[in-house]
Amino acid sequence: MNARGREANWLWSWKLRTVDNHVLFDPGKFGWSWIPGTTSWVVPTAFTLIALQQASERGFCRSVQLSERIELGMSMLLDRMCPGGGWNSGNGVAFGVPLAPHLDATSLALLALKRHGRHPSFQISLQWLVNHLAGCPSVYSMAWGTLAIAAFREISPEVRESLYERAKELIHLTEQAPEVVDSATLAVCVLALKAIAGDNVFEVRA
Amino acid sequence: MDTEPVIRTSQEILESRRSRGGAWGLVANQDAVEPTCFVILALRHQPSAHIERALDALENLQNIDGSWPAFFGDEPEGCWTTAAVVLSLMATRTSPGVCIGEYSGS
Repeated sequence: MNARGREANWLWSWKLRTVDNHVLFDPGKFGWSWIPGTTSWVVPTAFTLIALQQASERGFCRSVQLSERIELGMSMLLDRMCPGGGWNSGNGVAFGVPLAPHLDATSLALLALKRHGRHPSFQISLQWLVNHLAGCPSVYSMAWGTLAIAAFREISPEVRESLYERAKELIHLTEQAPEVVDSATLAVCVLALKAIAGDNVFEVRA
Repeated sequence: MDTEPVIRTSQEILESRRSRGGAWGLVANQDAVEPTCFVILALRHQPSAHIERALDALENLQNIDGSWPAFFGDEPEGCWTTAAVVLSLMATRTSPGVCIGEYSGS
């Protein structure tokens, strides 16, 4: 819980607020990094937020500090969203150029942000995922996308219909390549296929 | 929609890829925390002693500061995989509090 992205350090925060405007983000909103001593990234922040929220739901952590840290991490994700919705790996804009969202990062961020399901940024990002997941050839991205869409199937008939269609694609992709994909990817496929039936291990309560 | 056949086949493949150390890797001969956590979650409802062994291996890998490294035999510096381990322990252990730390604030 106490780990934090490098931009939380006062020197980096000052640099990013004053002389370094290549990236446009608020360094006061920080999440978690892949390894210590580096800046916040979307995927590790999303994983940590999911774990901390589930730990809180199960009564392992019930401090005000935990709630505040979760909210701060969520504010980092919302701050780094790509201009048209969805998430890239880190920033939404770099060197003045809007970055393209990634399916896996967007799916994980949405799973972590369920509490902010009514936020406009969440809504536009879920719509982006629903619109762009169809036909994805990557079994890894299709699995993460299916996990996210399964968690939000109650939001609208469109999301429900999307889950049904993506589930067919995921089954096809998994059947084609179970021997060649790495174990982490194959395991995420199993978890996504289970999520279709309602057993979603990455889901948090709103 | 019947997802069970492809789930079962995938689980059998995952079981067969278990290393001698009882964990899983991204590439051959290198057990790693990320695939081990995801496989534990994927097989957690299977009656298998392999999962218990993998959980024990993960718990033994925990750093003194409570974090987890990325690979088995890695430097004792925690990283993002700590979140994946916490998720795995919460989904499988009836009392994961000792490992994940029952945090009450300071």
